[in-house]
Amino acid sequence: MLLLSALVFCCGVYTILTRKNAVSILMGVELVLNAANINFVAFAQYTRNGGIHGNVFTIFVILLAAAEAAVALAIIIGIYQNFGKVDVDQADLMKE
Amino acid sequence: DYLFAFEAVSVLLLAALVGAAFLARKEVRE
Repeated sequence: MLLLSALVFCCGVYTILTRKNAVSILMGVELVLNAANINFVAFAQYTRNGGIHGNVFTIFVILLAAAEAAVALAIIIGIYQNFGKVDVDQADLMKE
Repeated sequence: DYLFAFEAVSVLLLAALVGAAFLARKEVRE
């Protein structure tokens, strides 16, 4: 499980670092968050008396990732309305 | 045990969605 989490995390970081498309970068961020979720679930089985703290925190992370994705997509829509494309290299002006 | 935490996160999610809808709106310039 930890190896899977590390693999997903590495894929997410590689996606963030190598992509120009803003939506692809957002997908990489989501991969990183899901890797953290896998880690929480993997370590949750070692809590005493069958505690569910790790699993509940995973749900919190999923909710926060959804909120962050909504805001990020709204920003990407704003970038597209101003620049005509979602290339992060082109979005280098504060205001036109 | 986690009722208040989930309620707070749901309010945060609602605020995030409202903010996203506000950011993504298209202004009508006359």
